Amino acid sequence: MKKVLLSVLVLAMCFSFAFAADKQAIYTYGDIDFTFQPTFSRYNAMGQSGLAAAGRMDSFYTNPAALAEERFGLSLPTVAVTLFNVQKLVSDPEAMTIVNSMIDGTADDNAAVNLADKMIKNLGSGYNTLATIDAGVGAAFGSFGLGANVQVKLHTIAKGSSNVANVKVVPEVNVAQTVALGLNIIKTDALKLQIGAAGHFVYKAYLQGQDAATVSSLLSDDDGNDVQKKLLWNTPTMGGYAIPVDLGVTLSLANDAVRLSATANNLNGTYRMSSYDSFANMTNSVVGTEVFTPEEGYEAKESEKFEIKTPWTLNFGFAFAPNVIFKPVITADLIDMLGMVKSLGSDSFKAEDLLLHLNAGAEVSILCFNLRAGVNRGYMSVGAGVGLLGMRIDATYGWQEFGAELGDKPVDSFTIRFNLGYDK
Amino acid sequence: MKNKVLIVALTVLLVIGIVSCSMDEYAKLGEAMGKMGNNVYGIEPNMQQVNETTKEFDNKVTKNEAGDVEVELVDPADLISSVAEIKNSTKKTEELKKQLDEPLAKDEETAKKVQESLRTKMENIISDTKVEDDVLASADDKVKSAYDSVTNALNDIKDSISENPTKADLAAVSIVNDLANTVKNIAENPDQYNKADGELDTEKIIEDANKALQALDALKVTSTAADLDILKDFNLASLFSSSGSGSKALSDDSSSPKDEDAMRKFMFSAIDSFTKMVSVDGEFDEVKYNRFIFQMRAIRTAYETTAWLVTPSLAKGEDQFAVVDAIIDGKNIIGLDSFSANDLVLYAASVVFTECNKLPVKDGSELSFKDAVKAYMEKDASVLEDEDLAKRFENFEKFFNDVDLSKKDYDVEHLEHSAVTAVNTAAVILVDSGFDLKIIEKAGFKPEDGKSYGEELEKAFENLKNELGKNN
Repeated sequence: MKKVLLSVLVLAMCFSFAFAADKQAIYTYGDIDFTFQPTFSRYNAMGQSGLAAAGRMDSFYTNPAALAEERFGLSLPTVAVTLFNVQKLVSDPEAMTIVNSMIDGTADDNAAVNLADKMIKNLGSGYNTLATIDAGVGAAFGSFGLGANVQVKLHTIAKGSSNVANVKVVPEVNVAQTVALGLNIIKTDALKLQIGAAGHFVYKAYLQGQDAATVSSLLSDDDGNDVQKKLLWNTPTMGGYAIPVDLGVTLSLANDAVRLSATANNLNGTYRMSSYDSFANMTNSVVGTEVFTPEEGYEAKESEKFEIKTPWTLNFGFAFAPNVIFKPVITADLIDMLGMVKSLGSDSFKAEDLLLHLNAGAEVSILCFNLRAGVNRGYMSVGAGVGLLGMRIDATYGWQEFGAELGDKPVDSFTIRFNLGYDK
Repeated sequence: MKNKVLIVALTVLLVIGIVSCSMDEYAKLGEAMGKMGNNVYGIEPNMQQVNETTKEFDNKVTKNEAGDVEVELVDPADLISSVAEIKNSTKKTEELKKQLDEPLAKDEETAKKVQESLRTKMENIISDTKVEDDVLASADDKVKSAYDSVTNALNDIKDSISENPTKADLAAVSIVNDLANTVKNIAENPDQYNKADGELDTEKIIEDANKALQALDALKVTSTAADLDILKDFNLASLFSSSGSGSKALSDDSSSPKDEDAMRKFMFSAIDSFTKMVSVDGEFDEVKYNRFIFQMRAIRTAYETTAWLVTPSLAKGEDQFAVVDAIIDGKNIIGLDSFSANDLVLYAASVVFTECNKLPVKDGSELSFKDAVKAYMEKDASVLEDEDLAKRFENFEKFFNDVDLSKKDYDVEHLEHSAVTAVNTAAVILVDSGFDLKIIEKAGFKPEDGKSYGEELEKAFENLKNELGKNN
């Protein structure tokens, strides 16, 4: 009976393809929003709100008008790790036993693979994300801001149930350089009007969707090198660039206690992409030199060009931040106003749909600690941070909607962010 | 410096605090995290599109004054485009499946008439999609194969329409009708895939292939049988721990008890998924069984039609294993990133169940597959429910020894032919799956020196055949 079973298993996992064609086929994934934004722990903890009270480095991608405050900020570097679908993992005793065994060093050889298997099964059907890793350096001095970010994101797509054979993992890498400027147009004791702009050069690359088994095998000690080689040289990769721009304007009243902002984010977010037959080929082509040495007889396929459009958004923010004990900050943002205006004309629009565009949050500071909470389209988030001279650590846990409409697919995530430098 | 030490210490304390929780505390933490996932606005997903889609089905069954029932097919294009949007939402998909699982008829008497009407509808489809022999003679072998496959399917589907057809059944018939018309159109116009200069018209090919893919996707969403999740409890680690070279996994019985337990768990999970689909309150239900087979037949038809459409330039090899090798070596021309390995599993399941359902039994008095499933479910609750996997496996084997299916002279050659067709088509289906051969090799399935994957597959089938027929 075991042989029969194994035969079926082998049949179920027995095929691999590469296309013999002169041109590398283009792979696109309509379910994935390829808009690039680094992970902001504070912003996410406050329900993805705070455009009018943006942190220094966060302002590069949210509201660059905040740079007009001319506050000093430094990240050398910032590192953030976000894990998604954490709640299902924590609720699974087997998964937590594996995690504990990995931490205390008693895990067996298959612990990492077993954990990956459980994470895959928690993804559900449709689009999801496994994890993101962010790293960045940046500085805000005077009205200027300069920054560089790298982000690795593991998107997943499951057609039907999320079992090991049904999930494809699409790894995405973004490398971004930012130049930002904020200016005071009006600056009096009673009123300030600030404007800002940030331009980003973003190079984006993503790999053809990989079966979950391939990804898990990277965790297997004796197979990892082969799979790494496959990912480097035998996996079609799409790469290209865009120069998105963020614009912001903030009106501050009552000695900065009340702030109103409007931002236009991700303008010019069209990526000019090319298809490559491998990640190594893409890297060699982009850098212009042989970073990775191909094997003898390797012939690169011809690239094809295509575009990926990412949407721009118009957002409004409000913040109440009186300079009193505990330095409370209350924020409320109206996000994606263009989307809301479009839906206003539709028959299905209901007054309560306005809530779907409202994010709100609050923060209090006690000594060097910060506590945060927020609501993002009706989903809660919480966070905490501690900052001491030269170092800062923030943690955020919250839910967000991954589906097309509210209630379709809520997904939770946990972020831990570490910053060496000075940022808030 | 003190501050840095303090922040590192706080981080370490946070990590220790989290990992030192007891399992009960983890459960409480998980519960609290889950509560945060409830939308505070209390807004539920908008089911308007789902309701509109299923409402269409209500209007398709009409009854005249004489009491005759007429069933009309739904517009496949509308259904396919609606399903394409709905399937992006888990909750909407669940609701759509729930609503489509409702019977078309309101009472038992009407149910029989609906069944009859649907059968008549299928007969009409069979005659409407018939291609004249002289026209078919000029088509190439591959188109003929696709046409034969669809023709056989239509007959099977007609025969397996369940006693109380559901909206999902009507959806399946409507989609299969659409696919049959596509194949008929190709068979009658064999030159439509060639441009004037004799080159293949790849745009036309991809257009038709995409159309078939969308129909298949819709069928996977609307059919409850497609929910059969065989790999739900399949554990990746069991694959990695089965190390070895050559075809060890197929030929060597020595494996750790842990591996065997993982295999048993996986196997019973698959059996449980199947038995749940054909039962009501744990009791075998013939109507549900018939519906399951009917929907699996429709799914199989959609896969086979789609497979032929996505590989119009793949020459039909005489040795079907050679076709597998050709595909593994990357000799196809069309790159459609539309299938996952799960499609292979679902397709293989559709072939296995539809073929098993009609396995010829030489002695007519013996058990059919349906009878065997029924007997298995009614035999002894402990066969199904024992938590001890090893004991359960023992019971499972004992049951099959008792009913002695292996001595029923099933036509093993017939099964082998079906399995070969399944592998061949599945290989075609898995165009561009990106599945890594190294993973397969880790499972112990590695060609011996000088042999190909096709030859190894052939050997795997020999093993399968021997296992099935060793007591003949």
